[in-house]
Amino acid sequence: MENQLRTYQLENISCPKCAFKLEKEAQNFSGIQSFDLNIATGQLKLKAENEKICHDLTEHFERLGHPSREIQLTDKDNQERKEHKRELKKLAVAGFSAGNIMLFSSAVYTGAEGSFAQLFNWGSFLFLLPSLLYSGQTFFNGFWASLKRREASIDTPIVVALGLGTLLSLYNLLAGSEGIYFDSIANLIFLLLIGRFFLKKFQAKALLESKVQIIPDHYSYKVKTEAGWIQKKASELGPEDEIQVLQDQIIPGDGRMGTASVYVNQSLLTGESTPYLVGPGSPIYAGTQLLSPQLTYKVSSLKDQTRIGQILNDSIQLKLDRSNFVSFIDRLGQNFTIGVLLLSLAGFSYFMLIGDQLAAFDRTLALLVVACPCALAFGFPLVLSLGLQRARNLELLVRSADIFEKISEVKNIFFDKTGTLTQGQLKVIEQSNPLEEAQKQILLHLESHSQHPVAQALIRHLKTDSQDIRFFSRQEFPVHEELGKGVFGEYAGIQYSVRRADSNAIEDNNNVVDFYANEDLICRFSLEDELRDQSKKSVEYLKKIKLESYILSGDHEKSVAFTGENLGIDKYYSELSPEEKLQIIKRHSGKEMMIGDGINDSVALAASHVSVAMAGPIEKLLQTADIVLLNNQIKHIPQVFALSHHIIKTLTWLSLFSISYNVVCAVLALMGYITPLVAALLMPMSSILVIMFSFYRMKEGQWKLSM
Amino acid sequence: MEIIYVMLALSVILAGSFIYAFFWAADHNQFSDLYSPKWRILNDEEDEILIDDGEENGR
Repeated sequence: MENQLRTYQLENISCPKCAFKLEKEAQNFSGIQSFDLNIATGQLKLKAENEKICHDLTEHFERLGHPSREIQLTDKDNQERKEHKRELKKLAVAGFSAGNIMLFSSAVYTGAEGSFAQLFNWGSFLFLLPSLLYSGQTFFNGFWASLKRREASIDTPIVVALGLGTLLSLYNLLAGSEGIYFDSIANLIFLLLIGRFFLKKFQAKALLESKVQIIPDHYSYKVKTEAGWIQKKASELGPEDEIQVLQDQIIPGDGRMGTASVYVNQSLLTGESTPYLVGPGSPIYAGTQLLSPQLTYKVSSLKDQTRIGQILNDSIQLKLDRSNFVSFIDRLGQNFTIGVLLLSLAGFSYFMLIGDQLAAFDRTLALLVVACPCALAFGFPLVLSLGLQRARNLELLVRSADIFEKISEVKNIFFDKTGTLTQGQLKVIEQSNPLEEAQKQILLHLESHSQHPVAQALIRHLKTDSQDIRFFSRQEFPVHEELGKGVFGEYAGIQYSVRRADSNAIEDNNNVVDFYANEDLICRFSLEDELRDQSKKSVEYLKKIKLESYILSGDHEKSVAFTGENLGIDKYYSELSPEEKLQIIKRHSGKEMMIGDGINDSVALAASHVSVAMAGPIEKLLQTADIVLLNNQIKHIPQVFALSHHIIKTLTWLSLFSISYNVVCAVLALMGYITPLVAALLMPMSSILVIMFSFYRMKEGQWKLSM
Repeated sequence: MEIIYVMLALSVILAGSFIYAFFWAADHNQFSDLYSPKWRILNDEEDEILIDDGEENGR
């Protein structure tokens, strides 16, 4: 195992300077045989005389603030590296062949005759061989694989064109007749390989960038440095940093509490949205939301190293799954390819029959080359992988690309109410009569002794319109809370209480509380779960694009009606059990989207055409839902509709362009207007056009709504 | 015009040597990291830096 090359992932390699510093440090260690640090990725390839040196060095780096972990390169990684090298070499050989053949054939085109022409043509043939036999393997392999599947792939017409072109050109060369197209073949191979090489790169990049991030890089936090507290972006945080997190911010990294204790919302990890108390010395996890005013703690791990990061890495494998539309286009492309092959055969036979050997050869070759539906083969996967990347930017976890088509088919949207459309936090919406200042003080004092959500809501409500708060001492105004009943206290001989309204007094007493003084009702408050800021806008937009919104809720009719009224949704179902939700989804079966939390709604989510989950333990959400909405950003729902419709439209245009272009070119080639050399140039050019078009269409400005 | 045969032979040799050079470079990881080296030349410090001898994993 000695002298093995080890790969480490170093953290915090944010600038070339750090990398140089580490390189310098490494020189102080003897026995290091190679040290190769990639600044862009932070990957270190290290080779040393023995294992201990590697260990010492990485430990030293950790002390310098660059912890690392060893990466076991999988066979797949190694294979990919080797594949990449092979592709580069194939490209070099193809370019070398094409360039030299162009030199020879330009001599022939400009008038070399007789034995010289013969010589140059043989030279061309000689130079074509490495390109065909080495670089051309890409196409032969693809062709062979598709033959085994008994399908026609885009490699099929290419291989037929390469084989036919080479053999007939060679025949013409031996016979001394016209029609030698070694130059076209060499160029075709070279340009096709270039196209594929870059397409592969783009795709790999798009898929890499669509990896999940719980903490977007642009979130910023205060970090303690020697120069005091400074604001840093989440991407710049390092382990061992002391960080200040403010209320409602997402905690950026795993760590341990100091001496304080705070309330956090751990719903991302546990699905439980009730505030969770993290005591002194307890671990605090990335991805949870701080509910207390502020928190200062020392980060121990970030990003992939955190608990949530590991969960995500384990459970998410992005896929470019084939949706109905894509597989339809796939089949279309196949049939088209078979059609092209048959047409070439027919054309070839026809021209041979009428005795025009040269035309038979020329036109068939041009047809085969120009009519290959490569634009489809390139454009579709590219648009879909870019789509996945864009969805990531919307803080959506999408697991497979076929979701875009499903979303574009959606007609009805079912929203869960609590926690989805609303924040899951109570707010006072109605007060029976105004309170005097003194009464307010008393009420505030009473409620400040309770942690009940209703009490919290009342305090928030009262504080907004009362300037100075007088504090009573415990002695002059003792208060006690009776769980499930209310808060009771005595001040200046009067018994005050705040309690749930009598069930006989009103029909729906769930969110109504009364404030009493000696059993005289002073004031009655109605509370309601507050809507999310973006809910109204999102629903309005969805209406605009002709989608029907529904509310499905387990809450009382009155509160659901209230929410519906506020949002402009007149179709709602209330007091539903999870099973009833499922029934309603099934009744509307077809094209519906269900948006809900991952726990109560998981049954309904699983049954719907497209399911969007937004609160719950993320591991579970990923199992039940097609899409997981991070950070409760409901405003991204309209965006994802815009994105999906845009993607489907782009794919439709791509296929229309590709097919009409191929048909027109096929006809022109058969009529003899396109020579094989022109065809060899046109075909890769159309592919490049398609790639550029895809990138242009997927730019944010092209589809993103301004909301 | 016999010189053309010599030139043909030379061109083949020349092209072949370029291909060989490219293959060598690809095999020795010269294209595996296209990002770091451009920064490396900006490093003003005089010290000699360990250079990757470019051997692939496990070989």
